Amino acid sequence: MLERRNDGGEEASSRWLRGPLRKRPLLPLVLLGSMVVIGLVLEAAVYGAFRWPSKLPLIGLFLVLALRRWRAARGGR
Amino acid sequence: MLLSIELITLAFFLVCAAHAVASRGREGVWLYGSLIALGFLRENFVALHKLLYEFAPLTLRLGAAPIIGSIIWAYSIYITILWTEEVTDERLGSRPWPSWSFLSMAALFMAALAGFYEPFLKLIGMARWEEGTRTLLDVPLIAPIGYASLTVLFLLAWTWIRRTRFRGGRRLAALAAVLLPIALGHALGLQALKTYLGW
Repeated sequence: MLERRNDGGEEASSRWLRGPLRKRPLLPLVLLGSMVVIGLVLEAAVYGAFRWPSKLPLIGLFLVLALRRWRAARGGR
Repeated sequence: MLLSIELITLAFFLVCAAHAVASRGREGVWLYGSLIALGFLRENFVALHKLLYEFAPLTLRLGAAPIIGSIIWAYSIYITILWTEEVTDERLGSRPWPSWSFLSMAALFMAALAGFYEPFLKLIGMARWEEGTRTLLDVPLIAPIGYASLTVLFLLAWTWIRRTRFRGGRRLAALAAVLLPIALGHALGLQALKTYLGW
């Protein structure tokens, strides 16, 4: 199930498990982002409420991450 | 509606578990397992001692608390670790102890997460805070403190466990010895702080 990497760490040996996740190292953050969207849509559509102000800090922190990755990509890192 | 939210959360939780194993190997298994244990203990203490809030009668349960209450901690703290590693360029476990900036950024992210979870949980009736709990934008004032403090406590405990270099049964025993008092102490301490502040 696990195999040792050259840097001494370990990772899953299953290609099925390793492949998609290696290509998407921040997949859990994407899931959380989609959860925020689902939450907003449910609040608005089902309950008739749209309580976005309390979500602004989290959205802001996601933007910080996006900005850092964008700058890293521009810098060719 | 509630069941579909429980199932979506459970599915996301499982993807995060797979991610932890795939990207961190054996340490990922221990890390995620510890987070599950922490969430289970913390939420069951809250339910059994009737602290802070009550739970809706949800379908999926584990012990005295709903499964979603237990797993949401693992899911959230794991995502917080990923976000913090990315913005601080510091991998958890790469230093003897996490830096202050790592701990404070993790605390900040968890506090922000409270602003997302709490209004939604209130709206759908999933978490029922004590009568008279003070809120801002439907976020109980004590919630961001609770989210952030449990995360910081866990990160310090996890780092200590790694530093001991215990393996197998000894590591399991060390985890139990650390996570039990953290879970109980956090629930009791947060309740005491909430009462003291009148929040």
